[in-house]
Amino acid sequence: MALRRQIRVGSQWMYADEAHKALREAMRVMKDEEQGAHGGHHQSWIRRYVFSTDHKWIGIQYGFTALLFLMLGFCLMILMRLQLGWPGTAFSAMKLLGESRAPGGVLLPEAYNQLGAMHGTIMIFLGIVPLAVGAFGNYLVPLQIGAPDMAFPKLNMASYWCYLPGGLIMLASFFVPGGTAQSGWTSYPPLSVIASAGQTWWLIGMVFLITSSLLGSVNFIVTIIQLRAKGLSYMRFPFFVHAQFVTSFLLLLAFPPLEAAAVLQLMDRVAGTSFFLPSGLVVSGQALTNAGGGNPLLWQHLFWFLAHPEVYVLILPAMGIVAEIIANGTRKPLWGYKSMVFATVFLGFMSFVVWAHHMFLTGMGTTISAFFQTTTMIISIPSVIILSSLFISLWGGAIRFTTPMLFALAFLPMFGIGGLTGLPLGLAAADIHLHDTYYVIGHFHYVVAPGTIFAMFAGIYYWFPKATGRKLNDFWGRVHFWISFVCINGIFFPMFAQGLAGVSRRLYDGGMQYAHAKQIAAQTNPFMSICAIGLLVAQVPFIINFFYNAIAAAMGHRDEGLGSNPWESTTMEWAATTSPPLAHGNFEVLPEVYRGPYEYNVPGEAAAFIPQHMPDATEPAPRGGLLPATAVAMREN
Amino acid sequence: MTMKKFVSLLFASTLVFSIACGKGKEASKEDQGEDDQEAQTTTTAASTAAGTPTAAPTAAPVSADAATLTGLVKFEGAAPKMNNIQMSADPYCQSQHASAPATDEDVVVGAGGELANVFVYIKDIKGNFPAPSTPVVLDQKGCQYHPHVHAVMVGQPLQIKNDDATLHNVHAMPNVNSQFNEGQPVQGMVSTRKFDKAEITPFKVKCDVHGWMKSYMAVMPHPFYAVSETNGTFTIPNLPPGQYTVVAWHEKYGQQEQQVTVGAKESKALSFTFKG
Repeated sequence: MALRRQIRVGSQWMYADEAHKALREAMRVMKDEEQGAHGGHHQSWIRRYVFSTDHKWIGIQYGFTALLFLMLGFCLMILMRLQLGWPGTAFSAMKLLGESRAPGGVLLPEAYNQLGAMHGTIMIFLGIVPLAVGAFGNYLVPLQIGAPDMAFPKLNMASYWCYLPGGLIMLASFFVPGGTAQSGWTSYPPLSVIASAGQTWWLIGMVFLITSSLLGSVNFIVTIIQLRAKGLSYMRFPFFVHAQFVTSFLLLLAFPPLEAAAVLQLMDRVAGTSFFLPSGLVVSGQALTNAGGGNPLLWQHLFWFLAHPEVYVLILPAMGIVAEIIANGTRKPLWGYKSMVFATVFLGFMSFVVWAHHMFLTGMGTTISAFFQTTTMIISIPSVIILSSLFISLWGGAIRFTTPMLFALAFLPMFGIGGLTGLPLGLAAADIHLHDTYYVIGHFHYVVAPGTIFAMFAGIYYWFPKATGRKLNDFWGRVHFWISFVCINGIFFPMFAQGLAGVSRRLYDGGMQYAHAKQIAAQTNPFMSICAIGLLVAQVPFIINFFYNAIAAAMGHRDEGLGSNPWESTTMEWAATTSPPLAHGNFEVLPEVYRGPYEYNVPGEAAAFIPQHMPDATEPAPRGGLLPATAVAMREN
Repeated sequence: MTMKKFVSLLFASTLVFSIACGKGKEASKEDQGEDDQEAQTTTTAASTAAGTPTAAPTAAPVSADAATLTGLVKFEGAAPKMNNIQMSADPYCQSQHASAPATDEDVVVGAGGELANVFVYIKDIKGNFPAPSTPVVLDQKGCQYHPHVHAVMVGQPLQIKNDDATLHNVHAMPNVNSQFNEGQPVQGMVSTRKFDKAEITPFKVKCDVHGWMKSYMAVMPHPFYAVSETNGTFTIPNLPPGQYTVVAWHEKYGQQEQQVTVGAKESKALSFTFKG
């Protein structure tokens, strides 16, 4: 065993040969990137801020765009809730939709369908997925694994520039005759095939969005496997990286069937094919003249083959964010880290064999139903493992109740409610009663709204100093949290009662036209709508807090006393680089990893936390001389 | 910049923005008001016109030689019994016919064997006939369409009214013009539509909420048409002298044609008979 010379780099000791190698590598990456981007000269404004190949800026682009879309999707929901709370009442806010959708401010039923379809589409495909994967994933994964950038920076840029046109096409569909898509975010045929022109735009937009996800997911997988820092074994990944890794596989494998299905539906609409149209279809008393022979159920299979893994695309990054914040906020390693990782991988596999639990009522037959309800029960196990581990991680922790921690803590029971209420829906017998009722809406909103979106807020409050060098205001963060927490439960909890009472979803008047639904709809809908308005008001402090600090940071006002690691975190995105990180290559010297991700309050250690890239403190601190053979042996183990 | 400064700047800019937008809104409100007024006046005018479904629009300049075509549509044989409409699916609709249940309107035969709702029109008249601006009203009342059969001219406004306190949706199913399908959730709602192509064979207009609701309408390139009333009579006024083919169309019994020649200022009577 050869003895190697160590030198001091910044605050740490490194082997001299490795330090030189890392430095050379970092310089090569920077040079390559600059040359690749603009032929060796300084970057133009367009290359830097518009068509950037820097994963951090692309992450910020994704983040801003996705937050704006989330706001839009949320506003559509406010209009829907106004209508549901007080059906048929004229609201001046409705006039924004135009005379064709809301004459005199009274929302038309078909416009309600448009709002419903676009709320779902925007929230999922243009809001949460781009925020969870495009923004958080892009910004943090390379930093957390000690990589200078994504493996394919131009592919990364292409991913954003497929996402944005996809979103703009969806927006443009508000202005086509007949309005936007109105067949739900699921676009079930035959309704979607015979719908107005907006559906064609929806499909084209989806093709762009799916392409964007595919480009991104390939990039994440290669980056995580190939560009992780030396010493960063899979079991040393921060949990967030695992979550993104599995999510990328889900995106890569689940989205292509929907892309194919979207193209087939596009053909049905514009080229006269009948992939999804059955023979002898009669619409409004008139037989259609299409070729026929297609099968509407085919769409449902293709769609849910995507959309069930998609549910985990929505939730896994959220779990990753919450895990990071909980470990940091409790000052403890995650309890059951390994079982969480294996549960995540198992969840990823299982998510491909549960899709038909969305289709129990299509008459698939009891054998198939039995299969899918069994797999659905099985998939709940890894979710419970992850959630339980997060709960147990709190035990005995010295919890710091910061704003991100509040959101992360709220995620746990909220996702718990969302997950557990899903079990009855996964059982064919119970689903007969609950299918297509408000119970389903309550269930999946608990998963994605106070679940995923709260995790996204937690992530924004937590990593905002990383991207900007400024902390968001804590007081207004708490105001944002508490009002949001109360109001969001006020919206979604009554939905379980409505659903159990048999109130169908997608009714433009919330059920007032049905004798069995009228009473509970009248009792609960106005309250839920008031809570929705409360939730809107609660976002005002966040929006001001976010933009004030973002603009101030853009103008160069940094929080001087903040330091680069304000949360005293162990993971490399905080500990191994500045906040914000270096524009090129992220790190002054590419870090090397010596330990697991959450070494907080390690027994026997003097330091309160030991970053992943810090060499083992038990080693005799080298002073530039030769390292004792024992220490080398320890390290190589 | 401190947070306070930022917030006050934000308020100031919001204020400026809202003032700017407020002005715009006022202006658009005025426009809206004018529109509403216009819509109202046309609605009233149209409701009077709707009372006399046989009255053809009279926007075209009337020649001094104009002839008048009148006629009677008879039904031969035993009139089929029209079924009562089951409206129990919508309690509101049922409540509107509490005294006597509404019946189907496929074949409406008078006491003397007169056949109503027959659409009579001149088939082969050439010329350019401007559409009147007076709208034709299609009323939804008691969960039935009034009138059951009618027509508009190309470009003439069609006002669709919901006089019921329940949701109706108007699903027009033309073959030449664009289809439309529009909901009217609130009582008193009016929407105006125009058709830009002639479609002289009547097409169906139905309500997808209430399956029994249907009516028929045609889009005419000229004003020479009428619908037979409950007493079987129809009148086509202001017809230029000439030789024409007159068509009588019934939703269930198909159509019949007759040749007719009318001289200047002549008034001619026709008779159609549909067999059951």
